[in-house]
Amino acid sequence: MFISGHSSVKVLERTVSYILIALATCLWELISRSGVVSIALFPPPSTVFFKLYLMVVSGILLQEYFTTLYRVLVGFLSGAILGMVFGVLIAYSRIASSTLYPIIAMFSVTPTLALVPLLIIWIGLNDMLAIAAVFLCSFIPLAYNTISGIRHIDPEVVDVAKTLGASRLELLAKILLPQALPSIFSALKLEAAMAWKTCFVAEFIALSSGLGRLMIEALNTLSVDEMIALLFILALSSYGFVRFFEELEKSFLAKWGYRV
Amino acid sequence: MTEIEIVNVRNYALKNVNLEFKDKEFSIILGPSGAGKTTLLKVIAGVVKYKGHVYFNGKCVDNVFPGERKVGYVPQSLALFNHMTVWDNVAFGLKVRGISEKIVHEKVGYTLKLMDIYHLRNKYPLKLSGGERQRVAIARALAIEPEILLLDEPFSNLHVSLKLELLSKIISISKEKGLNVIIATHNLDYTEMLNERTVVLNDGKVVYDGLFKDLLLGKEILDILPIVSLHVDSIEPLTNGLSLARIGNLKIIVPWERESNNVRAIIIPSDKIVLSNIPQRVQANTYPALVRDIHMVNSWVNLSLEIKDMLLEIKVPYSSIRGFKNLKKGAIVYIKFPIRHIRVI
Repeated sequence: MFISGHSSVKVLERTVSYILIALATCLWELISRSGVVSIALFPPPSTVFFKLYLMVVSGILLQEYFTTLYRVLVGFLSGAILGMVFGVLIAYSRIASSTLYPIIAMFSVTPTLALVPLLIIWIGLNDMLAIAAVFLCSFIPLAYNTISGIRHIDPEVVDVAKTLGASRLELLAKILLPQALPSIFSALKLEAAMAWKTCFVAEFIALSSGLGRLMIEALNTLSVDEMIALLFILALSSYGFVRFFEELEKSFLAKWGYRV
Repeated sequence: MTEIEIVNVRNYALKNVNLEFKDKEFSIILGPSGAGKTTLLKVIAGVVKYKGHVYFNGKCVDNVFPGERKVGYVPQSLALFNHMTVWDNVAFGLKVRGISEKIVHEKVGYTLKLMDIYHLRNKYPLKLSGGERQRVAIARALAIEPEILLLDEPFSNLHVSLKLELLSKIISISKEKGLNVIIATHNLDYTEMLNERTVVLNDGKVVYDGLFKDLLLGKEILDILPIVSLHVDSIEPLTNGLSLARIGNLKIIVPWERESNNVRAIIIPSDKIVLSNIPQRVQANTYPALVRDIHMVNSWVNLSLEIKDMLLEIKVPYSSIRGFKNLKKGAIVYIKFPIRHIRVI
């Protein structure tokens, strides 16, 4: 019998996943050390983690990590907040909808990374380049999902709120935005990981600081262990960022009775 | 309280509707899907555009904001604010009107107790049952102390006993507060029981305005509503409140205990007729029938059935025949008229 959601089953599921990760790591260690592949090209996890330790101890990793973190946070939060504001505007105003929606729709299908060369020319090789790339990668999906979240709200909810006496502002702040949250959270979760990837690639292509810069240096010196360690940090950071929004979503939506 | 006058109202769903609802009147708007029932309620609530005029107590309210019309509106979907607790849902209308916290507290508490949902005040709507949600929606509409209460299919998907319990609650509240109540429905269960003023809408027009019992005497109205009506030749009492109605060669057991010559017909809501391609376990009121003709109109199926040398034309919802693999002309189906849904008129 499958007992979904039972706490002991959840513990078991988690234990199994940890065991699988440990097994995969052991297998990786074994293959690397067996001599089947070059240890320089495919270093074992023990070497990778030792490299990671050295990078942390030297202080270089933390310095570059905080640079990337700053870019991700500023770009993502400003993009997300402005995206929601624009989304509300477009969903709520007919004029804004007819003028801005086609632009948002057009950019929503354009990969943000394709805009990086243009951003290099327009912004230059500084912090703002990565921030702008992250901003665009969160702004468009957040605007798009806010529009769709608001447009999918039962029109009768709006009718009832009107008969109860809600003004346009109250309707927006107290009804429409909270009810669009499931859609907004979907975009936040999806783009949270994307923000790290975009920042990393922007740094990799054009900047002289951040985790992306460390990656290009590791490539230049063919330090595969360092490259894998950086990828590990990138994956962990993206995952942590996504988990943060998942928990935030749970704290709202699960309380309201939505399935999350 | 409020007398409503609707003059020459027309829009995408209504065609020159003229109606008057007297003060403290309890009215039913009846009609098939798409007849314009919901739109009529929305016109009164002021949440849809229309041409023509609506007057409350002789004063034109066409340009009056919905929140100032003193109308409590409960839509079919209930439209509860899922991100708010039951308490906040009910308090919403009072808070946005700028009423002081103390009075809001008193009024919300009173309304929740009135609707027997005070114990649910800290719960969220998605965690409530259908009946509880229905009560919350009505409480929310009542909290603003409206003069008009508009209910759109208020009891759909509720169990019969719960339906009647809520209905009697609404009746007692409306009498106590002198409310003008208008219910839009296509459900005949309680409409017949109430026998209040009934307005029938079809294709955006008023086709009947009067008492429900008189409505059933008009053949053309029965064609509009999703009802099957069978002319009774004779009726003889059986036992335990049941009688045997003879309709041509058919003998149908009906809930009727008086011996009367006034019985004209039996009616049964179309969606309550049971059609099956295998014989029913309970045989009462079940007949094999030969399908003479079948065709679909939107979500309805018009069936021409031959039962005991009688031709019966019925219109049933598509859902009634969904289980059939190959329903076509010449097929044999088993038709059942469930006793509890039969009304004798």
